[in-house]
Parts: sequence; C-alpha cells; structure tokens
Amino acid sequence: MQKMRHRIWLLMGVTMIMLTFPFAGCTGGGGITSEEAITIATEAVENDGVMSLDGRDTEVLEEATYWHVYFPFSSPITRGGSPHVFVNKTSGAVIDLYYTE
Amino acid sequence: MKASWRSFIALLCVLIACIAWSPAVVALPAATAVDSDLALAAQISPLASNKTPEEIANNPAVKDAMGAAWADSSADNATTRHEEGGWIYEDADGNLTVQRWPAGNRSSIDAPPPTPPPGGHVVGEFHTHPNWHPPDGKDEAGKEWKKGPSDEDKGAKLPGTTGIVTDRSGNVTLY
Repeated sequence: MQKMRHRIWLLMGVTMIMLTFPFAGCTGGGGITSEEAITIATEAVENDGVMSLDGRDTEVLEEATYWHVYFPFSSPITRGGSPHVFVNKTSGAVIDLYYTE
Repeated sequence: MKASWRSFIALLCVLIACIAWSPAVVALPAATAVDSDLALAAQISPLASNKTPEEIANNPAVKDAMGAAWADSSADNATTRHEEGGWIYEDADGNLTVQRWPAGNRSSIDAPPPTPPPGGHVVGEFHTHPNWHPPDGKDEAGKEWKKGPSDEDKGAKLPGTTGIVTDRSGNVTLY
C-alpha cells in the first residue's frame, strides 16, 4: 500500500513537470529558446541597418516551426513600423526579415 | 522517511510549477498607460462625426493635404524619404481642415496632441508610407517592406476616428 502511494506521488510529480514545461519559454524539443531567438533577431536587425531598436519593446510569438520576433514602438503616440524577424526553431537561422511602416 | 519523501516530491512539483509559469507572470501586458492616454484624448476631443471614412478621405481639403504630404515625403529619394502626416479636424460647421504634424523619420512619425478649432473635433489622421515599393514591397536596396497600416498605426489611432495611409501605388488605405 505504501509503495502504491509513493508511485502515485511520483506519477503526480512527473505529470506536473510534463504539463508545465512547455509553458516555460522553452522549446522542449532541443531547439533554440525564445530568449536565444530574440538575441539572433536583434543581431540580424542591427546588422541590416535599416531601423534603430532605440525606444522599442521586444515581442516574440511562437509559431509551428519558427519564432516571430518583432520590436514595436514603446511610445503610444508613434505611428510607424517595426522590424519583424522569423527565426527557425531548430537551426536558429533567420528565415525572413521584413519591415512594416 | 515516508513523510520526507512526500514532502520532497511536493516541494519539487511546486518549484517546477513556479519556474515554469514565471515568464507568463512577468510578460503580463502593461497596457494601462496607453489605455488611459487614449481615454484622455477621447475626452479632450469628442470623436463623433456624421461623415464616413470615404467622405473624409475624398474631401478636397484632405486630398490636397495628403498630396502635399506625399510630395514632402521625398519618396523617390532613398536617402531622405520619410513619413509625413497630420490631424483631420471637423469644425462646428462641418468643414474639414488639416493640421500637419512635424516631419517624421524614414518609417515612423509622432503625432503631437491634437488642437482642433473651437467647437471642432478630431475626425481622422493621415500619414505617408514612402518605403513600400510595388510589386513585391522591396526597395532599391532589396529590403522587404509590408504594405501598411502597421499594427502600431492601428493601435495609436484615436478610437472612433478614421486613419488614412497613402503609398506610392497611389492607393489610399483606410483603417
């Protein structure tokens, strides 16, 4: 009976780990994390030299095969666009870089 | 031994759950400041108008101002092209007037606080998008631009007013 209780507790622990791990900002599949994607995207935008990242926030969206990183203006009075970078979740390669205005 | 084993598992579960959910807590949107700005702007400037967005965009005074803003944008000069724009006001008699904004940057422009005429109010705003090139959006340097308005354009517009974007295709986009 005691052994069974231990197994139940252990099962609950493992289940909680499995349920919560995908929400931790990790890919869970051995690929790059959202934080790494932001670093890659930031470097790509700075190297491209079209837009400055001063005065901008950083947002990241998780898509099926890539991270969508973009940098909207922090100021609510600013009309304008942002750099948008798609970073492959597995390889970390920049697969698209475009701008809005 | 039993109790310590159970405590260890319980503590481990709580710890992992806390770590896992902490980014979601940190990333909660801080939209309060923006919302209050928009609400304040709406109070300062009543936004009701009987005019449709199309009527506002086709008004001769507005069309002239948008044409002048496009010319001022230097859209054909890859070095100096920039955004221009302005507020569109409706006065007490229903006439539309335009107040231009200070010149913007290559792909953005700041709107100063609106100062509508006495008895008038804001009915819209316009600005130029000189970077997008037909047919695929790529400029002379091969940089890819998406046709607007951007999410930031839509988010910054005063609620209940008409937003207008002009680009080099000659089209006017309402939002």
